[in-house]
Amino acid sequence: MVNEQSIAGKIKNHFNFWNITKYLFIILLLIFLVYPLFAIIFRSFYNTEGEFTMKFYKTFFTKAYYYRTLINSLKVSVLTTVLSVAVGVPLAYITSRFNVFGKKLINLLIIMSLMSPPFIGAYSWIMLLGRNGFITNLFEKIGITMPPIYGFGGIIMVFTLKLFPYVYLYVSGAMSSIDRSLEEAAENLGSSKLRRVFTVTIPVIMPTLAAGAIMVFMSSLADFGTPMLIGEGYKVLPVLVYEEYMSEMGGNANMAGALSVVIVFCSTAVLLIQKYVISRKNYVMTAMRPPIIEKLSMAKRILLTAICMFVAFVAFLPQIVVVITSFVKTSGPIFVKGFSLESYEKIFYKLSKNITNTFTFSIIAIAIIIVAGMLLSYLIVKRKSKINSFLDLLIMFPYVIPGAVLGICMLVAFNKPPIILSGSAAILIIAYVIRKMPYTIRSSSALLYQIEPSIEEASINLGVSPMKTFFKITARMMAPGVLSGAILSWITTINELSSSIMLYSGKTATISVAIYTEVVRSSFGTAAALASILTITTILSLLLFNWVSKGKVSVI
Amino acid sequence: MSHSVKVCNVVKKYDDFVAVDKISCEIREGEFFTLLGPSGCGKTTLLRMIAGFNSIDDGEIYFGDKVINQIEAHKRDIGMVFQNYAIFPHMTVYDNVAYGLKARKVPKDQIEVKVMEALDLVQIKNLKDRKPSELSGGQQQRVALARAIVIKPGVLLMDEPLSNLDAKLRVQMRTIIKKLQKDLGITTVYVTHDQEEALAISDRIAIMKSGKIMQLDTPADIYKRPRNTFVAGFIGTSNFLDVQVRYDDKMNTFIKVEGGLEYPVKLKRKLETAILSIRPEQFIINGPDGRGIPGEIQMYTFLGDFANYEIKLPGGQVVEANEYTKDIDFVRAIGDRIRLDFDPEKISLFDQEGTEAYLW
Repeated sequence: MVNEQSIAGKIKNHFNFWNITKYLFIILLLIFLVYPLFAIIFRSFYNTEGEFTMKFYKTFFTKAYYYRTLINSLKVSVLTTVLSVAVGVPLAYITSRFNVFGKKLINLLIIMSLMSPPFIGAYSWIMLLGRNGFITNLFEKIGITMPPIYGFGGIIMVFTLKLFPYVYLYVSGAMSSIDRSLEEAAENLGSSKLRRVFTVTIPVIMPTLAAGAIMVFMSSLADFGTPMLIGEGYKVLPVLVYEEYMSEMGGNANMAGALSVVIVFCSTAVLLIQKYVISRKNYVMTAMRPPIIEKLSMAKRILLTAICMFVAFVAFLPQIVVVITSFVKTSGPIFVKGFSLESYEKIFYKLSKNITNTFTFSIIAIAIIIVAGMLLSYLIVKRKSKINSFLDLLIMFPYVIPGAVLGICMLVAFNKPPIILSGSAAILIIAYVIRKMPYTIRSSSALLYQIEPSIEEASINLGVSPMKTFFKITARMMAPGVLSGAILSWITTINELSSSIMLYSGKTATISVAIYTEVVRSSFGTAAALASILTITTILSLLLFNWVSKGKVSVI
Repeated sequence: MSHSVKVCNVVKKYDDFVAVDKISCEIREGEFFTLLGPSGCGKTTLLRMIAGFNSIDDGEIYFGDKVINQIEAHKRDIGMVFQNYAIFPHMTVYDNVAYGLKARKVPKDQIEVKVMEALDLVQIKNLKDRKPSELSGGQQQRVALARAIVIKPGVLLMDEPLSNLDAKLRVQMRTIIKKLQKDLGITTVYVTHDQEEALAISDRIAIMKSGKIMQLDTPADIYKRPRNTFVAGFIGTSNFLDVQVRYDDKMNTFIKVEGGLEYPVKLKRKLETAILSIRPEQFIINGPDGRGIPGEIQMYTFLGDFANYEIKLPGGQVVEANEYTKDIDFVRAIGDRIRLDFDPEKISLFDQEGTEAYLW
């Protein structure tokens, strides 16, 4: 009798709020993340008759048309990473160690260029340096022909300007948390200043630098919009994935599936290297005394400020270009002299659906992300168990899946019974939630780690159930972290192109999709107006983020 | 209302490590009961099992005559004070204290009366509208205490509540806690590693080591009659000396420290040798011509009301002995030869395994 009671009691205790939440999320993630991934892997190994085949992989690795894109992708990613380090590290060193003017402005500009819609860079640089670009024409008049922006060089330039902020932000963080004594010790031991930088400073920040470089590498490997717009003949893997899928009408995504597997394999490999080789050597440091900020002579100070401002300005330039061109008068695809609001008029007549779509979908996605992100980060941080670390792994996995690939996975999985979602708004929202939730989870978790378990225990033991305690106490205390994370999720969601372009249908096209199609149709004016809406929303959201996070949460 | 807590053969395991090893004890209604022991002895684990934050792997815990093993933590009606206070940072002092009452659906007008009463008891009525970030450690401690007692819990649990306070405040707070506990008559389980605190505050103390209770007694008995060498060494300072045991034809028993006198004692069982435990103040220091074990003063520390000496015995062992300032005219110097004697009634004897051997 006693035994039966206690078994019943144990079962009852097992199905408490948190365990139910845990199982619910595992089921949802299995359906919406694991199943689509396996569906695409499965598809890549079977032909249309359902027989096992390695044909698609064989084709990929033997035909230059296919494997060249992998080589191209790797070339682009490696060179972008190298250049981003070359730009980001010196810039971070200068702003964190010297008293240059306007540090806050430099930081803000750099963060804004990182968070800007991904394809705005490509678009704006085409506006400036493209065939009919503003600067190209200007130089043409004085008899200088500019080298073409399209292709490899253009992709690298746009990527570097867009992604070096990762390196910059990671490294500035590390630079200002090196304890002063470390460099003083090196100096004390007779090391010259330059030698000190290379023998002490750089090695200490190496793991952080590597983490930033990996972010650059992964983002440039996964990005679809930029190479699509500016690459022209120079084809990279995500673009090929898109074209293959679109050409395989009827949704037989076999070749696209094989390509997706290759690209996910590459990014997973890179991430694993980062996790197991580089992060092992992490020198955790809390700067008791932050490094000295060197006072420069006025001439040097102005020179260094000018350099930093120039880089930040060039990175931010695309957003200015977009906003300005959105007000320029157009005649068909051609910009003409004078300013007007006609581009805006056009989009409000023709494309208002896209605007409402973007905001409706993003708001729904963010609402889900906030609730799920809070509960999930709580499970991961406070209820450590094997199942929950598996949950953690699942949630962070979308980091290595390019948006276009995730899009194909979802389509392959949900275009037939039992679950048909293709063409619906739901599939876009689900893709956004999966792709953008890590931002919220990461910043919520960071805050959760600082909440002592006894705070919750105090509430429970005063008679409030664990579930109510979560909502009354923990959730309140997590709020700043959740909110800052949610703003980042929000910014990246409204700007999302790569998964939207795979998943949209006529009725569910978003602003990003519309910008893309408008650019393809050469209606640059309307594209600029749409992009301005995104840019302005992004900037306002970032300002909100700064205000909410009070500088305690980093955007990266 | 307050009730007793009965712990019966309770076990807590973490994989292979047994944190609480078949502990049994009864905490009486209204009693101030302390779990005392070095870190890792299982005292906090046991406290958290009573609170419901650690599951009970085996055995039962009773509140009154009701088994509470399966009752969830929030239904156990417990007040708990945490080591780091665990004040809700986003609420005012008033809201912190009112929290448990609101959970109990106490009518609003009564909440106010009760909260103010509790704040008054811990003397922080004037701070009711402050946020926790504006309070000192001692003030936060009082909020935590008020929050725990305002709900009139069946049992009050305290997990090293004073360990984050400075020495002076610690003494002040412990007096407040003791007085409050007596006035309210709440059954209290208190965890600490500070023996002085335990002796000062408790009705009874359970001294724990490696998941077991080594001795459960009143503070005076624990100090005066340690049941094993662990307790003798853990509480206060004890000198341990090897002694020879001799039996005469009439089976009278005598003990003798090398170089000292022989004293008659009664032992629980027959032993060849024993361990004598004696506290520094139990030594009687005689001049070189007096009686007792010969020794030489190696070091002295004058502490106002008494002087502490380190004395080297012929075998090379160094013992500590105290002499009260009021009993002496001069402080002895390093190198002075003395003799150490003691009252055989006041010492403790243990067998070689460290368990008590003296027959009282």
